[in-house]
Amino acid sequence: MIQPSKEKSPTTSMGVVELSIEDQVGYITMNDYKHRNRFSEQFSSAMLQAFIECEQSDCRVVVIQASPIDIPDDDQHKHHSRFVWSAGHDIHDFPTDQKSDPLIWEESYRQLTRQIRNSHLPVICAIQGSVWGAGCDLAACCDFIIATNDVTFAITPVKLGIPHNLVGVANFIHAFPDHMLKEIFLLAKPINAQTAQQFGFVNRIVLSKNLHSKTREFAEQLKTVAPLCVNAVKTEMNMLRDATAITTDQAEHLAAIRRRAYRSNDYIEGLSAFFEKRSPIFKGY
Amino acid sequence: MSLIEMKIEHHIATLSLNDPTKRNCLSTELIQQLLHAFDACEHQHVRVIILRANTGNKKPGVWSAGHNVKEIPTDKQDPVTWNVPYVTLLRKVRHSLTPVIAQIDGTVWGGACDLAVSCDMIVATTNVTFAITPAKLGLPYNTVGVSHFLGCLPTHIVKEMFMTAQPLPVEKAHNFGLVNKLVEPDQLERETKHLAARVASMAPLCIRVLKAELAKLSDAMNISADDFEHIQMLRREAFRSVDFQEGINAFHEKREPNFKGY
Repeated sequence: MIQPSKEKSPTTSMGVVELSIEDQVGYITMNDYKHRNRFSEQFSSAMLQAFIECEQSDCRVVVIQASPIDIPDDDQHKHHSRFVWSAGHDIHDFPTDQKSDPLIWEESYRQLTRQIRNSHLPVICAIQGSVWGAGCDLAACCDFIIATNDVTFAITPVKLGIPHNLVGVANFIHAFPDHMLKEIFLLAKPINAQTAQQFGFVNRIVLSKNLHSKTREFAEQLKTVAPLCVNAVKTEMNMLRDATAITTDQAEHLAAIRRRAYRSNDYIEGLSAFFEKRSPIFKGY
Repeated sequence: MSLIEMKIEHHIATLSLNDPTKRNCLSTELIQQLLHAFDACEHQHVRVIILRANTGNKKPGVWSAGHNVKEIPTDKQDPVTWNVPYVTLLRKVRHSLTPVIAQIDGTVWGGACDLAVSCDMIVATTNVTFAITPAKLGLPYNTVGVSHFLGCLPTHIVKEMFMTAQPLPVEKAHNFGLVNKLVEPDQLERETKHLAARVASMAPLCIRVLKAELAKLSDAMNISADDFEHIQMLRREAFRSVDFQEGINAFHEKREPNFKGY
């Protein structure tokens, strides 16, 4: 069993993602302390591999969790929890040629969220600390979220000048009411665990010391229901949610709007500001 | 010289592609002028638009060669996007509430084939062929463009046209209902005018509604966000491939392309 490590820097040879399968529950633990569990191509790919391993085992439930990453003195995150669950996309992976779409269907991260969302297994996301950008999207693709009191969710692409992709928005469309969702997406405003629970995004709020045991309890409950029926209901709900289809013309229109954004000067400004740890100055072109 | 000639008579506008030396290819300039002509028709309460082409002295001529291949970007960006002039033109033709009749004598290539398909009716002569050629250029056609054809021709025929890039003879096009009237060349103008006059004599407001209804219904081929992004990936692989460059080079060098699959 993987216990969330209290040490600052795990020196395990198991790498940035740890998998343990115990009693038909797969625990995937994000353990990339150095990069704050950023979804780089490599990290996402390791996550995907671990997830597929669970699916191919006798697992009935998958839990996605993280070793706590303690960052007490970090300026950037001073208004948030001292823990980071995931810092989101690896900003270094974003193209800067002003030609390439930064968010594409085939990237490992998107393969991972698709795999989770379309999995026949129920997936529980156990969170402590702040969750950024792609981390939120991943949590939204899980079936349940158990969070500690200090959790915050922030979806930040508008701050980075990155036009969010269609699937990324679609994953949230039923997760929050529209007006709330616009605040979250358009203001990149972090919301706390309590607000997220109020709107039903988070299933349970638990004390940090109980996170593991409560998650385990939740997983045990899921083991008592019929797996084939879980699969059927999950698939049905996915299909109904995906029924928000758009016409091909609309899709191409959206592609054009997004293209305009990632080819703009603001796109470069957003990324530069991030790396220079300053506020971006956006001009609208 | 104007690349588009416009004449309005009895509520019927006749727009002529007028760049025969360039085989009426759909250059940005020609499209801009054509878009202006469409706007002018709308302002002047035209009831029917006839779209024809001056094909020069050589018979049978080229109605339109399609895309201006020189204008297709090969620098890894998407060559067929929602806001390029060509796609804007097709949207204009489809979404304009004035019916558009294509009057065709000559061969129709590539993008012009989509233009003809996007018109509301087609009157064609025995000299006509329709070819949709992006696969020969190595160019991944856009999803909307493909959807235009699915509305007008049977699926197997659409696949044959796209996957072989070979011209569809007018007799077949007529049998499948893509072409409304198949006429001898000397009858073309008269038959088209006749059809246009008939449409122009119907209640204009009802025609507008019908056009809107049919456009919305035929556009209603929906797609999920995930499917669309998947298709974009496949298209991106194609327009960033060596084969795309090869297809364009082969076109300019007037030789057969040698595609490798990457």
